Amino acid sequence: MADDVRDLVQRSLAGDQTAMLALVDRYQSPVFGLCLRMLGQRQDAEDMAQETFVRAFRSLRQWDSQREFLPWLLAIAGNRCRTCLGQRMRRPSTTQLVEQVPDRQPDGKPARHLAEELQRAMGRLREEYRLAFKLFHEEELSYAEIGAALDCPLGTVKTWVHRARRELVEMLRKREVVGEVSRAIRQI
Amino acid sequence: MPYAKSNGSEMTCATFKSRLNAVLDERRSPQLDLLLCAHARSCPECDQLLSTQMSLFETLPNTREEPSPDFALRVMQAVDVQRREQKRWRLRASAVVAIAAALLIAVISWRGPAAIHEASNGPSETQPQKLTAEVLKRVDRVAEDFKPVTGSVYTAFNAFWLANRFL
Repeated sequence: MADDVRDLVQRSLAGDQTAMLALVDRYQSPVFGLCLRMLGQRQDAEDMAQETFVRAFRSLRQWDSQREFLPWLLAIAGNRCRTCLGQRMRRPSTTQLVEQVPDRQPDGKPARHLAEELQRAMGRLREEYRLAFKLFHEEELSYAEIGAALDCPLGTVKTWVHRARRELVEMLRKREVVGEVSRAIRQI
Repeated sequence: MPYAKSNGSEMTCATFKSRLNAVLDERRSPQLDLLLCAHARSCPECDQLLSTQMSLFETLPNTREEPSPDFALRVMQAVDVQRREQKRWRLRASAVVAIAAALLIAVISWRGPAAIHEASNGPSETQPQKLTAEVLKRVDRVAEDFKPVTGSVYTAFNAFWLANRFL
């Protein structure tokens, strides 16, 4: 797989558009996922993911072929997102920065109810806990990849994810949604 | 603190929590971990924790999102636009470097009409010799006058080529 990526990079450097397209195709999901988790808005996330690839292709020669490609790409994406967030801070807008789930009543489906409760609990987590948790569990990035993207040590990322799990469980317990959903899941 | 015996080893709630985190870190299902399940059976608090975590991870994959279908195509278009812009910028930079180099050469090698005239004043000669010398001097002067121009043009071409190659 690593050789495959190296080959794609080499061909991209030579200007092969098919290879570039293959690289985008392969990595668009984790890059977009990271941007979406960091920025919270689909449109901004797509813009930053696009900019990430444009920048990556521009500085493809700087990639060390002895290392993994994805963490390098995620580091670029993380930088772009931080810049975007910085610009947002300087120019406050009326748009929502964090995904919010409307406060609806459960519709009788426990799993859906839990998903809503989970989103609500996520919204209450500390920003870095929420981000690290989502990147690890939803985007399925490794701790090293998250560390590269967020520009922080692996141990810190691990701590954030563990704390996020603990706090989520606590919040769900307090909302008393766990028991009914657990029973429903066990029955399946 | 509650205990549960499993395979001859005792597990505390603290160990349970740390093992649960380790299992989740490895993206394994806690349900399939015998030690965790054994402890959970004897400890209601840890059983609830296990249930909650399992419920959490049953729910999570539903929230994953993908970019729009034409995303890759838009990236390629953006890359193309950027490449064209880069090429245009490189040409402009090359032209600026070439003009600057040409001007520099012209200024350095420009001697001025007075200097050329002064250089052409030699000892007195006979009439035919004077005429021949005068013609040669004029040819020389014209060549000298054009030297900065030809030199600059040559340098400009070279500078343009080099800038285009390396910028």
